[in-house]
Amino acid sequence: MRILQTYRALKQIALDEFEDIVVGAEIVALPTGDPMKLRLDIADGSLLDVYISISGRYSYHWERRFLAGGGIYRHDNAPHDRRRSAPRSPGISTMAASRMWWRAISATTLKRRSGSSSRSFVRSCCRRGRESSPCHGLSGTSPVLQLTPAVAALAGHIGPREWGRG
Amino acid sequence: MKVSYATEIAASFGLSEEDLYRQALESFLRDKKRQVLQMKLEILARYGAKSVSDLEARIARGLVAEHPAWEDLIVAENLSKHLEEIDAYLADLQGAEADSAG
Repeated sequence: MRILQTYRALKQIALDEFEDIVVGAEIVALPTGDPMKLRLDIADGSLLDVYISISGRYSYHWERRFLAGGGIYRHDNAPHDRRRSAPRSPGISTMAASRMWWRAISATTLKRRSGSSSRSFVRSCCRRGRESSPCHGLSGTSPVLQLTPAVAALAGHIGPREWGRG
Repeated sequence: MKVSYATEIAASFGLSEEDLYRQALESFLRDKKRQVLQMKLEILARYGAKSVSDLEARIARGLVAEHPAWEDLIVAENLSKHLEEIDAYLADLQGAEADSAG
């Protein structure tokens, strides 16, 4: 199972490189024994579910609804735009995409902790994000845009119009 | 499992140990294939989709809610890939069986 190796590698990256925010990592399995997703236990009590496919489809779901001021944050490459099929990201490996996303969560979590979530910080994230990765769709309910512009920006998928809503 | 135990089972069915091993592996893989196939069909059936690409088309056309359909699609795609791997192992085993018979 090639995808299991990918999930294992991602788990190790999360534990080794993001130890300041990742408390635990578990590959959640289906009844068949096949991996379903990677679940990361984040230091602030939130959970991040990562779904990755062999062909490059992905979905990150950051669950913070049960925290004060929390919400759901999603980043994926589902075919949001009905005029085109789902974008793949051959230029960016699964590992690189996940690192980028986890860096964004790390930055957001640490900034929240220090009490500084200024728009200038988020704007700089947005600039860096746009320079370093292609644009993908953002989905979810309004708290996504309201509460995680930094995450979305670093992941590189939020455009100026969406940014304005944040 | 002790080697002598496998020898005893093979002898009781009139098989060589190699044949017993091959048949055991084949049964294991077929059982796994059945489980994986059922899981994939169960996921697709939730959305009335016939295939992974059909599910993707349904998401794109807004016929099904994007979440959790997209996550389920990712899981179904990985299951499809695993089915291909299982089929390749089964083909190899059957090829080996044909070689030994020939």
